[in-house]
Amino acid sequence: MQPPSDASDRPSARTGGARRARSSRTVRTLVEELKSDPEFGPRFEHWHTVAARPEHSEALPEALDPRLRSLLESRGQGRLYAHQARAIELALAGHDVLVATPTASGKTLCYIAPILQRLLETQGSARTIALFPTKALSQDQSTSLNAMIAALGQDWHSFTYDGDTPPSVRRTLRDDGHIVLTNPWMLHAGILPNHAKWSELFANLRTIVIDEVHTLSGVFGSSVANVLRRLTRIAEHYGSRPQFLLSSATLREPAAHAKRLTGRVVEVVSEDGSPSGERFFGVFNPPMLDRVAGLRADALEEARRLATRICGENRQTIFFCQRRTSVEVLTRYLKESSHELGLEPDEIRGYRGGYLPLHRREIEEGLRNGTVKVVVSTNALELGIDIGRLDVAVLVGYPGSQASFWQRAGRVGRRGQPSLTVLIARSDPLDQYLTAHPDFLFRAPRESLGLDPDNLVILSEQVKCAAFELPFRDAQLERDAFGAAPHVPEILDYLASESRLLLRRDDTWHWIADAYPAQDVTLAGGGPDNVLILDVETKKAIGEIDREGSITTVHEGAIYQVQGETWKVERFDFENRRAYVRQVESDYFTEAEVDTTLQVLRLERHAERQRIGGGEDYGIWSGEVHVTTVATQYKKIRFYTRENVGTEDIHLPPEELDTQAFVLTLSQESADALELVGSERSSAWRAAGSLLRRVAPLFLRCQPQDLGLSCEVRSPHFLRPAIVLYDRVQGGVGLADVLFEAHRDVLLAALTVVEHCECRQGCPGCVGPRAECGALGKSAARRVLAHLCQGPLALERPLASHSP
Amino acid sequence: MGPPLGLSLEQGNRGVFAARVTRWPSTYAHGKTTLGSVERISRDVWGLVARDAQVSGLDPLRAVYLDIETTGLSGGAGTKSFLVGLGHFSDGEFELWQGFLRGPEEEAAMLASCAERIAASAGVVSYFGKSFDRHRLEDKMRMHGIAAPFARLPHFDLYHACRRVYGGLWSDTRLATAEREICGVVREHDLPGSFAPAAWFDFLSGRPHLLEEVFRHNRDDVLSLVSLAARLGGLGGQAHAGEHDAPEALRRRAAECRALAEACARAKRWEESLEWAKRALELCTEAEPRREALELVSVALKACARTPERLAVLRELAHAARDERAARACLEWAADLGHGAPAEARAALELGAGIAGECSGPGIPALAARIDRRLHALSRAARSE
Repeated sequence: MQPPSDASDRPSARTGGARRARSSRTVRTLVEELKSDPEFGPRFEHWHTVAARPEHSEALPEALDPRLRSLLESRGQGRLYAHQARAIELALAGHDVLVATPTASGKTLCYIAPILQRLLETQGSARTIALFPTKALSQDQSTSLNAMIAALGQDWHSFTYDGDTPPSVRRTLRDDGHIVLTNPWMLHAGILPNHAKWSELFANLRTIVIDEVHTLSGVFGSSVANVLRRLTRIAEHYGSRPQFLLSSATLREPAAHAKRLTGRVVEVVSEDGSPSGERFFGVFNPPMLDRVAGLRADALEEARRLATRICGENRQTIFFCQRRTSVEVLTRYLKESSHELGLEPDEIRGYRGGYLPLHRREIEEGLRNGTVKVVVSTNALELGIDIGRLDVAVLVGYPGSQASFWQRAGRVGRRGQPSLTVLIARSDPLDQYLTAHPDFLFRAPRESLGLDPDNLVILSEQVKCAAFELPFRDAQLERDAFGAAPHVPEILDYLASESRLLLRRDDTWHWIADAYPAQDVTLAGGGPDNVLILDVETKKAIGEIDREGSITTVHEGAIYQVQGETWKVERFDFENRRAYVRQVESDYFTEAEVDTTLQVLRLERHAERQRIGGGEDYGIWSGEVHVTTVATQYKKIRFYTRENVGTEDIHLPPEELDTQAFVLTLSQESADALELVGSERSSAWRAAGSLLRRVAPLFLRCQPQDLGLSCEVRSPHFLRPAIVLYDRVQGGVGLADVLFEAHRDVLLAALTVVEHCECRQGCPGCVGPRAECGALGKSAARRVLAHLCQGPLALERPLASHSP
Repeated sequence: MGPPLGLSLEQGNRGVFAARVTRWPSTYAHGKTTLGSVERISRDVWGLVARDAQVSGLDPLRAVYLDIETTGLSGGAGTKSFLVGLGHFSDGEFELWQGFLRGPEEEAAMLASCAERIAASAGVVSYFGKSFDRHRLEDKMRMHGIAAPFARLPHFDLYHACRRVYGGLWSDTRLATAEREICGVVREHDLPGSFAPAAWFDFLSGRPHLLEEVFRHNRDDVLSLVSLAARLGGLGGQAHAGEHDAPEALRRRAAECRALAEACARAKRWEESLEWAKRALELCTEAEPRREALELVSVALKACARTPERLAVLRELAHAARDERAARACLEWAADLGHGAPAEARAALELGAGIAGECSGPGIPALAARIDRRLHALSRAARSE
């Protein structure tokens, strides 16, 4: 039996308090040693310490069933952290609840306890659907749930239902699964369209759990919000009104996010009651190699060297890398120098999404029971997979957002014991900015999550799926889960009269088409469309990779790495999503380059402002574009030396994206009048573009990654400077039109950000760090934005049938 | 009301819907088989070929013969079964009831009536219905809160039986192939089933012209169920007139006898299995079917402990080819000889060892090792004597 997830927060007989005490003493000593280390000490440009926080605990909630009470007591949980007690109390009282506290603060118990209590109260008839952002998380939870159920002596079942679930098991699961753990894609395309097969579940559905709701944002989150509308609509059909129990990382405006996601007013619990030891943070800057080019020593190589000081038998260390290749390269380096670390090669493991489930389970278990001392991971271990808490985290590069930084840092710090997080800066501008302004890292989170379930394109697609599942009735529309959304009657009318998918009889809209709409409606957010990697010799799968990453990772000739071992890709069957590999001894790895080109297909709207005295000042456009991403070539890079030992072409079809775009152009005359000359012009233009991309989500309620950006000083289509912001979902979800309408507000917001930012020459908070946008980028961008925001608005004018 | 003709309105407990009822005398011949001949089937044979003891309790005159037309193959809540054909025998006649949706709003009313009709029967006969028709109906019944009757009823899915008996003879096992090959049914101007969704969608938008053909197609499907069920229930009986000599007819009868031998073996009815396997053997002219029949004979003889007879069979099997099956026969042949005939046993084992040496395959190493051990044992026994 696996230990229940929450047990890892507390010392137990099995893990042994003594071992932890020893390891914790060494963390504080380690910090002292690093500070005084003659070689590494000076490279730590900044140290930051967060004081220990005491535990706030409370007695078990009164309303808790005695059987659960004694189970928790027997697990040493006779008292709970304050946030756990509060969340369980609210859930038992029937509220919808969101627990927004850091990783490993015992959030799972906040929903497990209410689920089990409902099962006890109903003699096992209550049902739960639990959604997790990854397969790995749902399997993890299933294990701990089943352990709790077994300890209660009940014959209930929790199952994971995902693409890996064999068809033969699905039947049993539908009929006998008390708790179904799945993901948004399966719910969308598998469960909801076939709700009759799950009628037992829906008729008794009492709880919907959604884990890590901070991952549900942007186009993906907006789609999932609609999937939840479909879910509650079907539950209602079978006569149930389930309660929502949500969890997330620390969020800005958690209540608003939960309301947009579920449509309900949710009680938020965000005061973390779990104890925290002293937390040390070190910002490590690799030595400068080339002052002119601003090139520093390779962060991965520095991580390898730093490992000799940090890793050891008495301590568990996690390295976070930004890319899968880096994970494999660093794993290999560390395994090869394992004797220097005082470890066996097997005590050092890589971990990332593409590993097979069993392989991942084994590593997770090794981390929990302490046999794995060092793990090198991508963001796969950023989410709440239970690996217990470790001692030291080394972030090889800034993960791109404060939220990610804190999620990763949250992986270390055993109960009440000191922990260390090291950020190794790369040469890139964002990382270098942070070494100069480390206080940026330690401010309260400023990023808020964009989510717009009423986005017309997303809503229409989801209404289509909903209409397939159950007819819409005019008279009941107000009470329908989609009732609060705008334009639903118009969408239904469109689906009937234009798309001919629906038939209206009396007051009811029936689905009448030979189609399965969920299959064609994407949720974005990656999805489960993975490429399987097969060993040609054993015919067995050794891993998988998402479609987007496949063109740069498993193209023919690529070196695919698992746990430091190397396979060469012999054949990549792009269409059937299979890559065939053969194990080889390779002294190099491969890095592929991609090329993205953007082509304007058709312009639909145009507005323009005239210069005083005539001539064009600036213009905006919206229309259709075609974005082609193609993997062009790959480099063979020798391990350790990073020497380039050859370059080869990649022959793969391009990834095509037909989508909608918003374009901002500036006339040559205005550019000259703003004194944008030479390199300043391009840096100003790029700075303004990246800032627009950053602020646009405020108006679009999406995420920056939902938008693609292309900045050209002289666009081949417009023959003048152009900033193109395009929707990254196939077909687009209407972001470009919103930008067209709101462009003045977006420009104003961008100007406000630049004007209020205290930095002198650019920072990640405004136009990007100086190294990215140039010394004059900020001031030039400010001039451009101020110019665009002053004076009259651009006037819309009809477009000639041909493009300009 | 436009086409289809002959619809009448029915009032069920969930509302009004339309249906068409057609009757045939039991003497009506669909293809080469009269519908009423299903009365004379052997229920035991039904149970054997269905591999389902429940089916042997199913009275063919009290069963419903089910086939549906849907708006798509994908399933899911939005797919509708707009035409449900249910045939049953009543007072010496065969009655086909075709429940029909004049619009999606009639679904609950029609399905409630289907559920009652099915529930009132002794069981269901269908073609691929265990995997398709049943689930389409069951899902929709659940969705409308109608108790689905399938779980407690025997269900004879003729598709699986046909595949087991005739799978090796035909290029596919679609209903059209089965009805043509076994029942001599040839349809003229049949509307392919894949046109059914479009026909109904057209009907809904005021163009009912193709719908009559969908009704006909569904009717023919249901009638073929009866014919096929009759033929499958008569397996092993008298050969049909005019079929004696044609090579295809011989092959078919051999396949039927082999299938019955296998079915009886599964049921551990060894004497019968032996009889059917021997009949199959008599009918086989080609090498591979003959070898398969011999293997069945050998298994049955072993179960009946008729060793002397089995020796001859094993000897033939051992010499039939040079592959793993033959090597295995050598080993069994030697085993059956026991200690009585060491010279012949040695010859059998040496033959087996030779064959195994030429073969490769996952089972070969273990087999070769067993043969080897037996040879050693023989040598030891020879020395100690």
